[in-house]
Amino acid sequence: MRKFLRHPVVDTAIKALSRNRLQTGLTMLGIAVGVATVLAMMAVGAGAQRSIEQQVRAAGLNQITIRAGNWRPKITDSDEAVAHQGDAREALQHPLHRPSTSLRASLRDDVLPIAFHPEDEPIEKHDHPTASHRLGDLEAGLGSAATMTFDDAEALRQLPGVQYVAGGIHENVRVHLDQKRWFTRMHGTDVMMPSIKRAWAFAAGRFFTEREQQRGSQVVVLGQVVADKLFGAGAAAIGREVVLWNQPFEVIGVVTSATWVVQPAAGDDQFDAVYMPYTTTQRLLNLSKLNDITVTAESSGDISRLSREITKLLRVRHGIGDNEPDDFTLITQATKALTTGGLPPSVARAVASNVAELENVTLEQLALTMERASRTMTWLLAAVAAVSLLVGGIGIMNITLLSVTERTREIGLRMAVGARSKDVLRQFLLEAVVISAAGGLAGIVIGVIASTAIARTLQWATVVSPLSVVLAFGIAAAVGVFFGWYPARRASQLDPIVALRRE
Amino acid sequence: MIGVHDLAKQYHVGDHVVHALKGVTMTVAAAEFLTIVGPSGSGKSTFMHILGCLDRPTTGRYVLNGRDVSTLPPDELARVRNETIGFVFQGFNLLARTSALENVELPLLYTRLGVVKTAERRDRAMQALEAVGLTDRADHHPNQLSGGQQQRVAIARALVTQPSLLLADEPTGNLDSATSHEVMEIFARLRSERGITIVVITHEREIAAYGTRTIDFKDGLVVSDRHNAARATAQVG
Repeated sequence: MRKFLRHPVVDTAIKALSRNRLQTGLTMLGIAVGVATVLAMMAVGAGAQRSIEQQVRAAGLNQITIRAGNWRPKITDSDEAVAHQGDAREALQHPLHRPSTSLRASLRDDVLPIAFHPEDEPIEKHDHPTASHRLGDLEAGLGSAATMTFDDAEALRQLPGVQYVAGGIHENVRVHLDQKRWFTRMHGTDVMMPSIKRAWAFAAGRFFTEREQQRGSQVVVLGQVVADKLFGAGAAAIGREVVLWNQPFEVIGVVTSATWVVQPAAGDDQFDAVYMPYTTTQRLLNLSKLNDITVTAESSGDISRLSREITKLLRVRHGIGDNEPDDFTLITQATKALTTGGLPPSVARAVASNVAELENVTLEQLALTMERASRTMTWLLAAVAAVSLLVGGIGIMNITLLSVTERTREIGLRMAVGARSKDVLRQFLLEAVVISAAGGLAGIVIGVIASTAIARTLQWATVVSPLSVVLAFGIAAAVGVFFGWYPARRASQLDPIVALRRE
Repeated sequence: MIGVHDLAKQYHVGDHVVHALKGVTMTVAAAEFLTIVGPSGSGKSTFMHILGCLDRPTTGRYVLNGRDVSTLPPDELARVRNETIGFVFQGFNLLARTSALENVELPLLYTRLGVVKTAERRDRAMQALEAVGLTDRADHHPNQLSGGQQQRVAIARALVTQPSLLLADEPTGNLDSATSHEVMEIFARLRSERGITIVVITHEREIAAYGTRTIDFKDGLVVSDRHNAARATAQVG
C-alpha cells in the first residue's frame, strides 16, 4: 500500500488533489453520500426481503401438524363423508364458547370467569383413572381420542424427507410468581421446537436441553409476553422460580419474535405461552399420550407426498382398517389457510382434502408475491440511490475538468518530456478514481453506520451483505472511471504546443 | 545530427492557410551551438517545434540522428522527445509546489522502460542538478528560487535523460542580463564538455552571439546562415 502511494503516478494524483482540497473534499462527500445511500437502501431492502422469507418460513410452509382425533370426514368414502360432516361441524365449536352454566357455578373466587377452563387445575380435577386418555382443551371438544404416542413420533422421524419431529402436549395454565399470576398456554414439547419455529429469537437464556427432556426437569421457557407480565418488561427472569400446578419451575429462557413482522402480543399462541419438556408434562400430569406431533419437511414442495406417507404409516401403526376413518388429523398450511379464510368450513375441508399439491398454490404463491414486491422495493430504493451517485459522478467530472484546465501547461510539459497521451489519460483517470474510491470507502463506513442506526431506531431489519459492500464500492470506482474518462481523454488529446502556450 | 529537407508547415486558421514554414533545408552537425533569430511570426518557433518532435511538418523530411522522424506516430515522437531531446522554455515551466529535485526527475517517469526506480531517479536528478550547480537547492520549491535558479533547474530537467539535442525557446526572455549570460554560459559549457547539440531561439543579438552558428528567419525562410567562431567565450571571458 505504502509503495503504491509512493508510486510517482499515484503521488502526482494525490498531490494534485490536495491542491484543491476543498473541491476534492466536497466531491468525495458527494460520492460518499451516494455510496452510503446505495448501501443503506440495499440493506433496508434486503432486510425486508429476509424478514418476509423468515415470516413465510415461520408460518410453517414446510410444516405438518398431526393432531390426535379426527373431525374430518374420510376422503375415500365420499357418501358417508357427507353424512358425517354435520356431526363434525357441530363438534368444531370451541368449548370456551359453549355455554356451560353448570361449570360456571363451580367457579372459585380467584378464577377469572372470562378465562375459565375446566382444566385450570388439571392435577386436582384429572387425577382419576381416565386421566391418561384426557386431551387438551381444543381437541377434547372435537370428538377425538387419545391415540398419538411418543412411539408414533419416533416412527415419523424415520420417514425420508422429514426434517424435525416434535411431539406436543398443550394445556392452559396459570403461571404464578409470588402474588402475580398469568393465565396462558402451556406447551409441553420437544427440544427440536426452536429449529421448527424459525422466527424465534431468545431474548434471554436458552431452550431446554436433551438432558432436561430425558429427566423431565422442571424447567420452563417463557414467551416474551408472559415474561413481561410476570417480571416486568426488560427485567431479568432467568434463574427465577415460577409455579405451575403448585410445582416450582426454573425459568431458563425467554423467547421472542425474530422478525418485525410478528410482534409478541397477549393471547397469541407462541409468545403468550410457556414451554417445557413434554416429558415433564407427562410426568406431572400423569399423561402418556401426545396431543399432536409437528413434523417439518426438508423441502416445502414435499408436503403432499409426506402427508400421504404419514397418513399411511399412522394408519398402519394404529391398526385402522381400510373402511375406517383416520383417528388423527393432518394440518398443513394449505389446509389452515383455507379453513381460516372466508370459505365455509365444509367447502374448505373438501378442497383441502381433495386437492393434492395445494400448498404449492397457496402460501408458496403468497411468498413469491411478497418476495417479488420486496425485490421491487429494493430495486426502487437502489435506483433512488443511484441517482445520488450520478450526481456525485458529475461532481467528479467537474473537478477533473477543472484540474485539466488548471494544469494544461503541466500537461504540455509532461508531453514535451516524453509523456504519451495514454500516460496523461492514466494520470487523470487515476485522479478521478482516487476521489471516487476514497469517497466510496467513506460511503461504506457511513452506509454501514446508517444501516445499523436504521435497524436500531426504526426497528427495521437491515442486512448489509458483503456483496452489497463490494457492489457499492465497485459502482463508486466505476463512476470515477466513467465520469473521469471524458476530462482525462480531453487532457490526453491536447496538442503539447498549444498546451504549453496556455496561460 | 539534424538534417531537414524542404521543410514546410501550413496551419489552417479558419478559412485562411498560414504558411509558417515555406521550405527550409539545412543540416546541423553534432555539438554545434545554433542560435536562431528573427521577428515574431517568422517561423522560428514552428521550426523549433518540428525539431523538438512536438509537431510534424506538412511536407518535407526531418532526419534526426540518421532516423526519419517526420512521419512517426505521436507515441513514437514522445519516445524521441524523452530520449533524444531536452527542452528549455522561456517561462521555465516548473511544477509548482514540487521540489527542484522532483521537477528534474519528471522525464524519468516516462522512459521506454517505464518509471525509473526511486533511488536511481534521485541519483540521476542530483547529477543533473550538479551539472547546473544547484545541488544545494534540491529541496527548494520553484517559488523559493530566483529566476536564474529556476531556469537552471529547467536545464537540469532537460539534461536528466542525457539527450543529444537541447532545444531552448527564448530561455533568457524572462531573465535579467547578468543571469541571461550565466544561463548561456551553461549551454556553451554543455556543448563543449558533453558534445550536446544546442539550438537556442532568441531575439537578442547579444545572446545569439553565444552560438557557433546563427541563422535568421524571415517569413518562413532562412535568410542568413553564418558561423561566428569562438565569439561567445571571448565576450564573457
